[in-house]
Amino acid sequence: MSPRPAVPKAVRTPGEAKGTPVSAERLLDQLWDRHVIPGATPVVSGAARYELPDLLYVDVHLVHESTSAQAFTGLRDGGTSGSSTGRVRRPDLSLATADHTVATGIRLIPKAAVPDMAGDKTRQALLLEHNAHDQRIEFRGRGSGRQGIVHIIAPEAGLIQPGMTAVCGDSHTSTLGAFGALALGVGTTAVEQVLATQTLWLTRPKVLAAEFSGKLSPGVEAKDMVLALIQRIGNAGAQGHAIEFCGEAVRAASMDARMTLCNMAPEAGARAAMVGPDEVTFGYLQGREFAPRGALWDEAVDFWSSLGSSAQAVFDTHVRMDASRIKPMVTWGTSPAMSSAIDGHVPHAESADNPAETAAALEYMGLRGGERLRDLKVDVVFIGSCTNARLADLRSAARVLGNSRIARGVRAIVVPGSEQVAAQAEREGLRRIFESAGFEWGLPGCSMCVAMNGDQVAAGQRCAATSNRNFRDRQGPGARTHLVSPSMAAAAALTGSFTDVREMA
Amino acid sequence: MTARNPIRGTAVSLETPNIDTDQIMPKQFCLRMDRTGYQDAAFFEWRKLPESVLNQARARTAPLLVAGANFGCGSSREHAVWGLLDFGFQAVVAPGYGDTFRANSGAAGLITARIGAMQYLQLLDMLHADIDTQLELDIAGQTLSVATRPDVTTFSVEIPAFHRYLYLGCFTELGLAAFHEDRIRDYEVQRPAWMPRIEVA
Repeated sequence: MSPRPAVPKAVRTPGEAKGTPVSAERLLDQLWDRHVIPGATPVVSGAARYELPDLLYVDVHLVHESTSAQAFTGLRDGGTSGSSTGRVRRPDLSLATADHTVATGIRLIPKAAVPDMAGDKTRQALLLEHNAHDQRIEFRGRGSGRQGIVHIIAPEAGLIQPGMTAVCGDSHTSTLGAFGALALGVGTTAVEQVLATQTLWLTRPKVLAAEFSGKLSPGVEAKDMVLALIQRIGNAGAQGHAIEFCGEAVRAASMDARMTLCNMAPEAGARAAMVGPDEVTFGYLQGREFAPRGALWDEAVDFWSSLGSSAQAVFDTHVRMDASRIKPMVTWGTSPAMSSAIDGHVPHAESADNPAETAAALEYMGLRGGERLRDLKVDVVFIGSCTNARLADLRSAARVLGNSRIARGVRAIVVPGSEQVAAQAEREGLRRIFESAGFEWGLPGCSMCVAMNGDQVAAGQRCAATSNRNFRDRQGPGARTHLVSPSMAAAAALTGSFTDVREMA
Repeated sequence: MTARNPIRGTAVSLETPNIDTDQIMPKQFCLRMDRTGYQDAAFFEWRKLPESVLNQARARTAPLLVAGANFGCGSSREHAVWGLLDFGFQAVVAPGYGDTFRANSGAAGLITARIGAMQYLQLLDMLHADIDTQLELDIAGQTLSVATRPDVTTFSVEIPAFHRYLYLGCFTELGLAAFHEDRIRDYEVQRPAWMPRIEVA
């Protein structure tokens, strides 16, 4: 390992945490330095300081049903054996919801792969509801008006604010970095540690600046930006890094779009992503449930305004993208980096950098090298997931649909990211547009992205999905997933095959 | 967890790069609420193929998994780590890992040794010549060698310092953090007042 370049470190004094401006040059370091528990890092013989983790304080812990059951059990066992209190240390900094396994009410396909292990799929959600009640954690269940995909309901509630740390037992927690926060996914052992201590061991990552200059063309969305980045740097291109999205096209992006960018950082290999906070961020937060009010709002905005990488900041890796040249993207393979602009072709395995892997991907996807992407027929269209199930996503898909109907033989599904998104979409008439077009409208949850709740794509079927992973078997055994933006998904639903949404005016 | 060092034995080799955690532990097994018992769930779809190396008897006794680049990318599900441990693996040797998978492995007691790209190809050559090569992974020394042939190549591998510390010291991350309760409390008193709190009604 090469030594990390010297990073200016903020000197933390007791007064500084109250809101005096930060001094580190990079946003990551500003966030990091303010959350280190001093003096906790172990001394390991022969190890350099940069190799060792810091103990970081967690400002918000989001909990969902599929990675928390074992953590609550472990916590309780610790209480029984006397090694801990058995209680969640800061229930007031924790929020729970059920999203991964909850039913959406959409039709299950006849050949849907039934989970191979017996077991009631709803049990995890019920157990979390019980654990949350037992531990005095707020649980936002179906019907509360505030249930939904965890990475969507937390920002909606204004719970994620600049300068904070947030963790959740889900890789796409990176989404929340859009607010200028340090947010990342962890495993269940770490979930238990956060429940018990409100801290996490973490080694400071390097920083990759993903700078998007210029303006996006009409019909091109945040999803296309991040897919283009992943195509450029590869699915491990940001390994060991946090990504900071910056540049003109990021500044111009809404919070919904910034969340889409940060959401897919794990698909580039990064655990965390972030965007420096600005007026767009503050405007989004103001008046939301957990946003500070009155004098505290002013104090917070003063501090938030001091966050952000300076012009002098030096990044470990700097990738420059021209936003004006990005076209609508479609993945053709089994890794999110296997993608092309819509006017492109499926590659020939033999001329790829990784022929064996490409050939295996094409075989799984039922594709031949040289095929035009826009000729590929789709069986299923899925608009949903923590990547693209916010209001902006539903609006852009509905705009493409207009008063048209989906193509014969296509099954199209839209699953709003949260009950609030669903309610607003209803008020705006978006639901009517989707349903008139022939879409099924589901209740909020992860649905056909993680495909744990029975919402699956049948083997061999081709699905245009607004979600984040096109791994083999991800949407169901044998399912063929193509990742696209919401407007590209809507275009595919209308025509029955991948279509350049820019030509659908 | 028993910390055994060095780890001696044979390896199973999966040469595909970018094996994601959905492959290692399909979603349906993440519906379970136990922390153990995932031995039959690991690589469930892969093992449907009778010819899979994971179905050979030797796979059940091999403590080492040799894998391709970017092993464990994708979902943060720790069930993938539990599946590998329950299957019988004590360590993985690969040219690279998904960051979250590697962190989860360190926390759960599965060693992830990173081997250089060239050394990885040499190791594959050795395994192609004799898949039953007896290997020895020294966690403290960060070396991988042939147990029966100390005269041949010893590969240098990288195991995160904190993971070595946890494994060799039989510590848990939670135990280490809980030790600093006083420091955590000192930190908490100076958190800014504008940060949100969620009061249960």
